[in-house]
Amino acid sequence: MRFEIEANPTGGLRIIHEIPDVGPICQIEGRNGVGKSMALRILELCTGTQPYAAADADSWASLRRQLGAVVVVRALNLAEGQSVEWRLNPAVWPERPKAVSGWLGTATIDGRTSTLEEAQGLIRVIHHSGELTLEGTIRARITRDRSAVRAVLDRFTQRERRIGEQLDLLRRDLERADFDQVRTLQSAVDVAREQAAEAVRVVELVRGQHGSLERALVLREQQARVAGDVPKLEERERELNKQVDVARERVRDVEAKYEEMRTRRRRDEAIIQEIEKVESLLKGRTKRAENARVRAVDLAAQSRLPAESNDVAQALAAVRKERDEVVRARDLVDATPRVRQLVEEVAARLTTQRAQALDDQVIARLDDTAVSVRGLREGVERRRLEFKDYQPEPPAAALEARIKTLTQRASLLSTLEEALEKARSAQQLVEQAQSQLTSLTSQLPADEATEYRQIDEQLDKVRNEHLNLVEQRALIRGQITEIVGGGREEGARELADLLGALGCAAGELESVLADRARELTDRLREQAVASAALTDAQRQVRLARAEFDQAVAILESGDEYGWLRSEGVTLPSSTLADDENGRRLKRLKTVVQSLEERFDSARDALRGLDGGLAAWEGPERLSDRSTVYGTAARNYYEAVFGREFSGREILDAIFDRGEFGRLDLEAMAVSWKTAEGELRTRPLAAFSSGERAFAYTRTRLQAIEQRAKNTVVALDEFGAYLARDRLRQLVEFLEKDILGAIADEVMIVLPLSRDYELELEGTRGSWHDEISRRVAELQERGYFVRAPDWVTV
Amino acid sequence: MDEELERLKPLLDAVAGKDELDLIASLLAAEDDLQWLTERLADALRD
Repeated sequence: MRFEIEANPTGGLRIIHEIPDVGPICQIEGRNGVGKSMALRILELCTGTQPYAAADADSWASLRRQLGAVVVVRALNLAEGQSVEWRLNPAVWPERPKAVSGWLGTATIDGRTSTLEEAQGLIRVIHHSGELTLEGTIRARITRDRSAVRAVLDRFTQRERRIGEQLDLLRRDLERADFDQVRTLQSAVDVAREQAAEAVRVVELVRGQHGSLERALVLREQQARVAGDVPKLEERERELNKQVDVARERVRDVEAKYEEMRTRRRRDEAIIQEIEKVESLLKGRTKRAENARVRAVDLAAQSRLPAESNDVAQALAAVRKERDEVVRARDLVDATPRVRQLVEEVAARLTTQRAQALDDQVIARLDDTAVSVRGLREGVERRRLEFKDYQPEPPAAALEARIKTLTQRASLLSTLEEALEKARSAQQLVEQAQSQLTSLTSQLPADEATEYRQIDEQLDKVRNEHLNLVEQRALIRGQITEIVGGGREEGARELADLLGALGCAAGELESVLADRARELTDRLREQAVASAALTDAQRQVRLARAEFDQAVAILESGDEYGWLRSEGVTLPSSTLADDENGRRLKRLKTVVQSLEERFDSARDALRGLDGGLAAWEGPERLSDRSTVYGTAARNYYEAVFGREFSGREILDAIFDRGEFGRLDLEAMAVSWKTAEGELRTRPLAAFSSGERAFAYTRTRLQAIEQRAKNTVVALDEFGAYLARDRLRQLVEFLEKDILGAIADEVMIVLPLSRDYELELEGTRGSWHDEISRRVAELQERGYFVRAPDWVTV
Repeated sequence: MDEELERLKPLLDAVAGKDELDLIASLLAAEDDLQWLTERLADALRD
C-alpha cells in the first residue's frame, strides 16, 4: 500500500507527504520533527478513528489551525488495485475532538464519490504509540472507550431530544385527558349537590321555626293589642265617626250658602253657569280623591308602612329580592318547577295554528331520528301530563310556602303602591278644578268675587277638615284590620296552634327566637359553604370534561398528531363512548410513560457509563469510582486486561512463564503465580520500558477487533524503548501472528539513530549504494522507508 | 446493530439491561424519528 498526503501546513507543523509501498512490513526511519507521527494520525483520522482524546483539546485546536485550508489524502495500491481519496477541510472541523463523522470531509473510492463509512470499510489504519506505559495503555483504552460512549450518547441524546419533544407533548395532552378524574369529580359534584340540598333543607327548617316564632310573637302582640289597643281604637273610631258627621254637616251648610248665593246672583249669566259647572266637577273630584286617599291609608295601615310612595317602593323591592333568592334556593333543590314552566311555554307555542300548519316538517334530529313538529308537540304534551300531579318534596315544600308568603306580601305592597298613585292623581285633578274655579270667580265684579272667594275658602276649609277626619278614621280602621287580621278568634287559635307546635310558652318566645336566630345564622353560613363547594366542584368537573373532550379531538384530528395516526395505534374518537375513549387514553398514557421510563434508563446507563469511565480515565474523579457505574467499569477492565495479560507470549515474556492472577485497577498492580508456584504482585510502573512496550504491543495487537478490507497497523516510537533483541522478537511475532490474521501491513516507526553519512566511507558494494540512497533521502526530506533490514536494528 | 455500539456492547452489557440496549440500538438505527416512535407505540399497545 502507498499513502500520499497533500497539505500546506503552517506555524511549524510538518507532515511527511509519502509512505511508499515497500512490502507487508516496513520501517519508517527519520529525524525527529519531520512529521512521521502526524502523518499516521491523519491517516488514522481519515480511516475513522479520532486520535485525540477529549483532554487533548489544545493539540486538536492547533492541528485544525495549522493544517491548511484543503488537505488531500490518498491510499493507493490497496487489495484488488483499489484506491481511496479523502478531501478534508479542517476549517469546518469541530472545535473540540469528536468522534469521526460527516464533518471530516468527503471521500471517493476509485474516483467515485462514496461515504466515509464505505471508505472506512475498505482501509483502516491503526496507530499505536510505544511511548505509553502499561498504565497509560490501560488509561488510553478507557479514554478511547469513553470517547466512543460519548459519541453514542451524543447521537442518542440528539435523537431522544426530537422524540422527547413529541412524547412530552403527547404525555401532557394525555395527562389532562383523565376520564377517571372526570368521573371522580362528577361523583364529588353529586355529593356536593346532596350536601348543598341538605344544607338548604336544614336552613329552611330553622327558617320555618324562626318564621313560626316571629309569627307567634306577632300574634301574641296582636292578641295583646286586640285586648288593649283595639277597644281604644274602636272608641276613637266612634268619636271620629261623630266628628266626620259634624264636619260633613258643615260642608253641607257651606255648600247650601253657596247655592243660595248663586240663586241670588244672576243665574242666567254665562259666567255663573260656568262656575256652577266647575263647582259640581270639584265636588265630584273631591269625593273621589277622598275615597282614593282613604283606601291608600287603609292599605298602608294594613301593611304597617307609612302612606308614602318612597317607603312603599323600597319595601316592595326588598320583598321581591328576597323572593328571588328563595326561588333560586328552591331551584337548587328541585328544578322541576322550572322544567314544568319551560314545558308549558313550549307546549303553548306548539299548539298555535301557525305551528300546527307545520306539523309534518322536521324540527329536530335526535342522533339519526328526525322529529316532526307533531311528534315534538305530542312528546311535550305527554311530559306536561307527567307534571300534572307534581308535588314538591320537602324541603322544597318549605321553600314553596315561603315563596307564597312573599308573593302575597309583594301583591299587597303592589296594590298599595297603585292606591297611592291613584290618590296622588285624584288630588291633582282636585287642584286643577280649584284653580279653574279661582280663575272664573276673578272675572266677576269685585263685590261678587269677594263673596265667592270667601265662600270658596270656607268650603275648602270645611272640606279639608272633613278629609282629615276621614283619613284619621281610615288609619284607625286600617290599624284595627291589621291587628285583628282574619278575625279575633282565628288569631287566638293560630297562636295556640303555633305555641303547641313549637313546644314553648308565650312568655318564652323571645329567648327561643334568639336561639333560633343564632342557629339560623350558623346554618346559613354552612349553606353558603356548601353552595360554594358545589359551585367549585361543578367548575372543576366542567374544566376536566373540557380537557378530556379537547384531548380526544386533538388526538383524533389535530395536525400535531398526524404522525401518530397509523395502523396499530388505537386512538380515541368522538364517535366512541366516553368509557372506551377513557380506556384508550389510559392505555396510551401507560405506554408513553413506560417508553419515557425506558428512555430515562437508557440515558442514565449511557451517562452513568460515561461517568464510570471518567472515574478510571484519570485522577480527577476518584470519588466516582465507588459508584455502581464506576464499579462496573472497574470489573469490566480488570476482566478485559486480565484476559489480554493471560496470553502465553506475555506470560512467558514478563510473568515468569507462570499463571496470571488478576489486575487491580485501583492499585494499578498485577499479581501472578510463577512457574514454581510463587505468588507475586507488582505495580505496573515497576515493569521496565522494554517489558512494558513488548507487553503493550502484544496486548494491543491481539485486542484488535475491527478489521477493514485493508488493515494497516502502525507501531510508533518503538526504537527508543525496545532493545534490539526485543524488536527482532517483535518482528518475528508480527510476521507469524499478526500479518494476515490481524493486519495486511505493519509500519514500524523508528527515530534516526545512526549517522549514515559517517558510515558511508566504510561500506562497499550494494550496501554502500543503499546507504548512499538513505543519506540522499535524509538530506532531501528527513526520512526514508524500507523493508526491515536487521542491520538497522 | 450500529458498528460503534456493537463494539461497546460488552461494556454496555455491564451497566444496562436488554431493554435499554434494544432501545438505544433501534433508535440509532432508525431512519425516521416519528416513524420509529409510532412503531414503538403500536408495538407496546399490541403487547
